[in-house]
Amino acid sequence: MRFRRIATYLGATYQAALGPGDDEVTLFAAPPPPEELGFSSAAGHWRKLVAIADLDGLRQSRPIGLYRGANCLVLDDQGDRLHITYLGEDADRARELGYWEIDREVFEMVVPRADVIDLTEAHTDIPLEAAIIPVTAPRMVTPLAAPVDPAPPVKPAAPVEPAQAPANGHRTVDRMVAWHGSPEPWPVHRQNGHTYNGNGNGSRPAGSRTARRERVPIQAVFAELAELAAIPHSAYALDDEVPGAMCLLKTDDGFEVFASSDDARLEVRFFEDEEAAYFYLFGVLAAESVRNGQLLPAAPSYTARLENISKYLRERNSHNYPPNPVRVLNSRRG
Amino acid sequence: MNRYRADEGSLVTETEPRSAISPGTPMRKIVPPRLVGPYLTGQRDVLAGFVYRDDDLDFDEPADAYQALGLGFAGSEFAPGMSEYYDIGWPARTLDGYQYRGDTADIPEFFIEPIPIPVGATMRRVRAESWELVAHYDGLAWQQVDEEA
Repeated sequence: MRFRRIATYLGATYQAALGPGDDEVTLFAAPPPPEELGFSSAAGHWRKLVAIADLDGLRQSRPIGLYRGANCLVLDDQGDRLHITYLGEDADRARELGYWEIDREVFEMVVPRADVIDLTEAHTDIPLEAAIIPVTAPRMVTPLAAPVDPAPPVKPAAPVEPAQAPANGHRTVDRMVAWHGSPEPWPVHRQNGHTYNGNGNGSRPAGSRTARRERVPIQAVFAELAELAAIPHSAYALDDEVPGAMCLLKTDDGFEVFASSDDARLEVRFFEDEEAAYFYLFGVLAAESVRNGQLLPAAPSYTARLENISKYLRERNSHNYPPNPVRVLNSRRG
Repeated sequence: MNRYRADEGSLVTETEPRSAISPGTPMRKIVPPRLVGPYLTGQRDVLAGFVYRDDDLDFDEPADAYQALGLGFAGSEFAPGMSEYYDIGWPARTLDGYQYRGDTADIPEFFIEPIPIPVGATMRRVRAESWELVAHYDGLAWQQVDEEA
């Protein structure tokens, strides 16, 4: 479940992003599309620029739900956690709900999945003309992509440091980077009468049904590994079936991993064990990255998160891992 | 339609002449310091909140933006005397849904609910008398400009 745009092109659906040209859309696919479609391989995925006018259709998928009675949009699905943003114009109400103001009047936080109800994906057809910038549109006086200063660019590994300490008592997202799969703790805040740190690991009242042993979710580990391997989000879908992506779905008796096309599931594998399913999915995606020469050594900035993964693996090793024999029960083409 | 203007507590209308955003209009989003890293590492892939027309932003000093654009919001990491800031630029499209929220320091403000970052969006580091291109967005990730130089 992910906030995304989906284009239909020559009868097939793809994740899509508008641009870079005024009348262009970029299509993405994880498994290689038929060669005759002219997709090019890049960074572990396949992409193609097409004219928006040549699309069969364009739509937007917005995962929305209710958090404590207020509308929210899911920005990222971490499995047992959701990164949500408040949809409304009442800033005071957003603060009351426990959201962080990460930007002026932009309220977001990570919550347990179970706390978001009526979760649904709202699909909206986008008229193609609404996505095209007409040739008569105003043009920039200062080109967006033309630097006027030859100074070397800033490295992403060294983002801006906070210019000052927060000037008030409101929460800050000083560990914002942690929300995307990292099991590192969030700033603690009070919610529903108990402490919650955003990872589902906060201390809860004695006897609480949801109290449980601290454990790094396998989805979080997968997300970290995928990021470290430069595997794009569009290459996979968790608990969701997205055409053009490698998908992992929970079934009644286990987990299925497959490549999804418009009308079929390809290379279906079934696993009884969740971890085996996730690591198989990662292996398939990483193999594609290796083939494309995109799987590079991790940068130093990832050291902390690598430690988290190591911690997870050590923990698993100390609990008679794997809990169940890993068996591939099925291998078929859908 | 009337909308509440949070910075002054007054009501303004969306029908003022300065309220229109035509497709293709160059837009800019001032990026809070805490979000620069998540953007560049691919952990954040949406644009949301207050945005501005590129033509309307003309500051002698980055610090001028602090007061003009209300960057001292609750929990803000922007500083009144800041010497630089990062922004993201992209061309407007009809489907982006720009909501006029009135003017601040004579600068029209527009609000957007989260939209995916368009391919070709650019991130700049803006200082007093210059700016530099940091990266551009390829639809899935930000690419440093020197990687393709």
